[in-house]
Formats: sequence, C-alpha cells, structure tokens
Amino acid sequence: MCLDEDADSLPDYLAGAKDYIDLVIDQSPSGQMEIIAGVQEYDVAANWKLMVENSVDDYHLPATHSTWLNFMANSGVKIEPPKEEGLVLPTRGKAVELGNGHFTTDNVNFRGRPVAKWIPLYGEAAKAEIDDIRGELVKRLGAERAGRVADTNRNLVIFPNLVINDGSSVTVRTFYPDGVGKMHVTAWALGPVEEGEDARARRLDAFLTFYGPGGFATPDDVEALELVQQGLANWADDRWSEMSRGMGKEGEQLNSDEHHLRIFWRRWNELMGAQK
Amino acid sequence: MTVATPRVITRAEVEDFLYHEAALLDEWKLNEWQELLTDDAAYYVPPNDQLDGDHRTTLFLVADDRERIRQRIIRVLDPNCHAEFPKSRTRRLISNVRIVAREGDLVTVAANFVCYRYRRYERIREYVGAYRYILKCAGDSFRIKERRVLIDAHELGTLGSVSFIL
Repeated sequence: MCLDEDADSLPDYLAGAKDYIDLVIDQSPSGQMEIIAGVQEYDVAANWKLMVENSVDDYHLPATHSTWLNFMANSGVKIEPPKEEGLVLPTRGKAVELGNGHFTTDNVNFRGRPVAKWIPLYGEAAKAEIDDIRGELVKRLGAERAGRVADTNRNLVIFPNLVINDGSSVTVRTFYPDGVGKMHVTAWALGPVEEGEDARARRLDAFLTFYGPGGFATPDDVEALELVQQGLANWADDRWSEMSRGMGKEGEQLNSDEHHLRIFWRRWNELMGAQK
Repeated sequence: MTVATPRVITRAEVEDFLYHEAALLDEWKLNEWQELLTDDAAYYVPPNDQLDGDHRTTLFLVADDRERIRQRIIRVLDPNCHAEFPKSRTRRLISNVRIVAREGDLVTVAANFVCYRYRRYERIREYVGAYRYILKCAGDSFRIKERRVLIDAHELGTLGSVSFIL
C-alpha cells in the first residue's frame, strides 16, 4: 500500500520488472497466483542490503551451496558447470536491468520446475501430471512463451526489498532493517490458485529442497551473510566492497557478473543523495 | 501372519527412549539416531503461524520423508554445511511426557522441550515447544514413525534457522 498521492503508478514504478512478474503469473491458467499458507519469519544478523546481493548473485552457488548440489546429485540431478570462462552454472544466464533500480537474473533452468520440468526428485508418479501442466501451458501460451515460463528461472529484485525467486519453486520474500546489522525476513511460497493437491504438495516440497530456515540452502546463505557482516566491522580500515565483475566488459552481462548488483547499489546511492 | 498381543507400554519406557534420542541428537550421533527411525519415518517442523497445518497444503520449515532425512543428515554432517560448521552445541530438556493415544503397535506421545543452542560466541538461542511422536513398538523398545516439532515462538525471529535436527 502506498499513501503518497504523487507516487508513480504501479506499472510505471515496476517498469521492466512487470514483464518478469508476468512470466511468474503465467504459471496460472487463470493468471492468478496466491500466497500459500505458512509464513517463514526469521532474523538475519546482517545489513538488509546483503540479502539483496545474496538473492541474485549466482556465483555464490557452487561455494555456498555445495551440499545442495550434492543432494541434487544424490537425487538424480547432476549439475556440472561447464569450464567456459565466466559460467558458474550449467547453463548460460544473464543479468538484466529493469529500470528504477529493479533487476533480475534470467537463466535457463537446470534444476527442475514444478511448472513444468520433471526431475527424478519429484518421483515417477509425477511425470504424467507435469506433462499435463506443460501441455496446458503450450495450449494457452504457445510453445515459445510456454518454454519461457517453464524452462527459465529468474531471481528478481523489485527495488528496494522485494524478491521473487522463481527457481526450484517460487518464493516471495521481503526484509526490513532493524538497525545497521540486523534484518527481519518474511518469506512465503507462491502458487497458482487452481493448482491440484499433488502439484501443490510437490511445489511445497520443492521449495524446501532449497529455500527457508530449514531448507538445504538458505541456512548457509544466512551464515554467509552474518559472517560478511562481521567482516564489515572493519569498514573504517577497508572502505570498499569489491563489486567489479563484468565492469567495462563489452556485450552481455552474465548472471556471474556483478552488473545487476551495481544497478542496485547505484540506485541506492542515488536515493541516499549521492551525485549520479 | 499372527499379530502379537500388544504389550503394556509405560511412560517410563517412553521417557527412556526420548532421553536416549535427545542424547544422540545433542551429541550429533545422527547416523545412530537414524537407526531409531522406521523406514517410512517423517520429520516435520510446521511454520510458526500454522502449527496444525498439513505439509501438503502449508509451507513448513521442515517436512522430510525418510529419504529426505537421510539427505539432511548427509548435508549437516558435511563441513560445507556452513550453517553447522562449526556445529551448534545443543542441550535439550524434555518433560511433561504423556502417552496420549495407543492404536495397535502405534503409540502417540506428547512431550515438552527446551532446546538451548550455542554456537561460537553468538547469543544463546532457546527453542521452546512441544514434540509430538508417533512411535512404533519394536521388540522391547520403539521406532519413530513420525516426529513433529511445534515451536512456541510466534515467529522464528532471533532463533534464525532450523539447521540442526530440532
């Protein structure tokens, strides 16, 4: 809710982020996604801006989440990044600027999607239903758009503190600072309103393979953020946070570059009164 | 197949079993702990705002089937599980143990717990709540068929995560 009568309209504010939200919403045949019951509320002893970085930088995945990669391998999904320079995931991914400080990663899926890419983790019995979900997408949206919805992942930041991660499942999270070195995080799962019982259960299970305070990845993110925050206590001696990957590079900015992180920090800096 | 007459179960037996389990968890003897589980065991931690939710329709903090428990243990024992390296030191106190239902060889047990968690020089975290078990009689002891952990806190908040077996 916004009480400022002079504020930009929501579509204007969302700018290019709207197209990426539409991609998430297109999972639903009726175009209606709902917040699923059950909220995850937890504190992280780190500055809130670190959560923005963590939500969208992809190069931390192999280092921070090797136990998740092992779990996926144990579950029949072997994830091996190619040796090609700059790629940290098995597939090529981009970082995309969306205006007003918003940005997203745009990655080809490699880890399964409840809508609609089967992986062994979901079990043989799920195959037929996921085929049906894919069929409905193609019928409704055409093959190209269906592929865009079902075969790409995105970690989207709506500036400043709303994150929609459309990966192993869809999580919506927001976070508020409680002083310089602490934040409150609130996270939910998002799903199509008409989702069937088994598909919904699969979505929630897929969520927990990665996300949340009991998931196989998020607790390690929290640990990393808290340790970074502790390291930042020496800011008076070391005033810079290195964020130069991809800077000055010709052509495409990859998800493993830091272009999108610089978008965030520049917008923040601008609003905090710095010169452009 | 003959069905043996169900033996009498006493609270003392259940308490002994729960104390043994708590010791294994606090000592991070997770592979031994796994031997206490049935082949179809489940481990649930419902979200703080939906303690009576169903994991198929509600987003839980943890909703593990037997295979996921196995994978969770591989994960938390790996030094690359950063959230638990170094490992938390936990100390759980269990009380108010009650046998609340009995059906054939299945026994439903309720208990209260406080689990203190220390890690490095961080603040102490106090997890307070209730356990709900479905135990299956096995010889002169039990196996855990279902283990449900209900956290009293209205939000996880400063407890942060559930990166160990709570």
